[in-house]
Amino acid sequence: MRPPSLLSLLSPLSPLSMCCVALLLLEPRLLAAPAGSSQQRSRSTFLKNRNEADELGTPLREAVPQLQPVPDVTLEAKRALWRSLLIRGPPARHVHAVPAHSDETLRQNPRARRHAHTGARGHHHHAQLMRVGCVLGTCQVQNLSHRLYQLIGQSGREDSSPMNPRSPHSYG
Amino acid sequence: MNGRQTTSLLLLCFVSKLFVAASPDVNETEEQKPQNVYHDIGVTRNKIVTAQFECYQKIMKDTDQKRKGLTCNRTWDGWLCWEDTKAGVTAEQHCPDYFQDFDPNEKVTKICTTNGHWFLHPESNRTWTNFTRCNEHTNEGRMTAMNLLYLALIGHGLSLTALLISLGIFFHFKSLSCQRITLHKNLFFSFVLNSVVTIIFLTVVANNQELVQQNPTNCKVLQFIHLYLFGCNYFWMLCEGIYLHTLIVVAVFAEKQHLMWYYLLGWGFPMIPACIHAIARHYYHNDNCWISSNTSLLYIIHGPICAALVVNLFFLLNIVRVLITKLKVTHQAESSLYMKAVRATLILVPLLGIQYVLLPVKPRGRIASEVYDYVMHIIMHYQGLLVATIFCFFNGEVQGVLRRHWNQYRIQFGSSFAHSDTLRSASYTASSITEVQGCYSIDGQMEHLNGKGCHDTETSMLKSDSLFS
Repeated sequence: MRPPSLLSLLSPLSPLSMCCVALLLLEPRLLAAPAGSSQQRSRSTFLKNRNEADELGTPLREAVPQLQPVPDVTLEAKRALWRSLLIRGPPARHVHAVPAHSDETLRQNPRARRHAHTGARGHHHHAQLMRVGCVLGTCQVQNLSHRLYQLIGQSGREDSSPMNPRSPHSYG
Repeated sequence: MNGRQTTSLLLLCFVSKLFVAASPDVNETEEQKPQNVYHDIGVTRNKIVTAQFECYQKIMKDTDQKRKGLTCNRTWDGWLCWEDTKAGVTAEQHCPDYFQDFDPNEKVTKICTTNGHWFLHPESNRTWTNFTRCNEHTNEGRMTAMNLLYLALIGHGLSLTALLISLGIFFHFKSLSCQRITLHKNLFFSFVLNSVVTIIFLTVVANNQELVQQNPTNCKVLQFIHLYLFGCNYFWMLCEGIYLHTLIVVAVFAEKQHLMWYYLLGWGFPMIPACIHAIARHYYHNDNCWISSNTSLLYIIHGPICAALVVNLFFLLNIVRVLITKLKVTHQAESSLYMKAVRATLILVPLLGIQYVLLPVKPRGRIASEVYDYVMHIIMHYQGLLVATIFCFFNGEVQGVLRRHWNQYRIQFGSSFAHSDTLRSASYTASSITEVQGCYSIDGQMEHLNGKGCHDTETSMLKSDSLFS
């Protein structure tokens, strides 16, 4: 059984409003100090507000493929609400996992790096330019410190994924 | 109503205070465990939830965009966000860093089939993203990173020791001071500073997740200083190159060069790329502690450095060319001539940093890049040690001065056999100087190649030294 996703949880109005308030409260903290301890606290209250604390063990699964093909009235309403939220407080800067986002790159989904023959080349090129690492021989110290940061002693993360990526029931 | 709220709030505060006060009494291990579990769930889950939130934002923002042809719909797959992708194209992005065993350097792929649907796993018949590469080699990668860290720390430690001893020798024995040694002093000093900052950066910042996540300004300042001193190091290598080239190729009989320009180039110029990098980083890639190397902005620092190294390569080739022609004039045997040229080249390679030009770019394959990493790290972190060894400990003049002082010391404490021993060692010193300077003749000491010249320097140094000390 697939656990309920974030969006489907939002359908009753009261949790939705609580969630929105929590998110709005959260945004300045996101801007100021990514993943600091105070932010973790506010996040955890955010999770509790969504009555999700009891499901923490189960992964959040996809919701969009089920939602997108059938554009109904409630979905449109939700979108309008989300949009109004976004106008008020979009996260201009992100947690350290996605560091280089101007508003322009945000629109272009900077995470996706596709093969050369995909569309939107100008912006795509920009996103790729910011992603390419330093390949010169003199960059080794910078590469090593970045590598250490990525792999060693990142405190607080789960040790391994709850789902083996090799499993056919893995994420997708 | 208001009163009730206040009382409940006060009650809450009281309860929480009580809990805090009670917690030290609880058994340590019992206390530790649930806290950890809570913490673990927190960070990973927060990252996933944040990514999901951003993904939905993105999905809803772009709905009015026109879609051309057959595409797979944008989607949130539970871990990552995927854009609209053309049919028949494999979308690709970096692994997420949600879990300890996920390597963010690896790639995730998601296939958009030709009929415009995301790939379904044949066994489960569900959409499936290929995350398998994320945790395949993480442990090896972690091992490599740790090995490289230890390699770097040991290398910089040894380099620091050798460089500080060398600097001590250079500063203590004033008879050694000349322009060439002044340049060496500066180069060694830049090596020392670079090593210190690198050790600090690797141990305090890169290995310390808490600090990076707090993202204080200090760590950005430290990164700025690190990059500046890194640049200084290489630009002092360029200075050595320019000095030698001027001395040997351009103006053999010139008067003393103006060191002012060398100071400007060595300590002043690297400030420019460091500042540009800091400003650009602030505006375009302002990540925590500026620790990410996944940005082309680093080329602002490394581009000038590589240019300097290429110029140094040109200087080295030219110096060796001139050396060979000069040695040919003296009608030496071919083999010894080439041996000398090769020795001079090998000596100059670490001084001028030529090794980085010879191995300029990291190869692509996993094993090849790992081997390259090890080689480059050894070369880089032990360069200070090598340079100090060659240009101080193996330097004839330094050895001569040290021997002389050692002998003086022994004479002072008057052992009976001191005299004869001193004589023997003096002659040995002269011959060793001749030998070392033979390979070091590019250093502008060509007139002292024969033994007599050496003795002359030796005696003049004796005189001047006795004056100083």
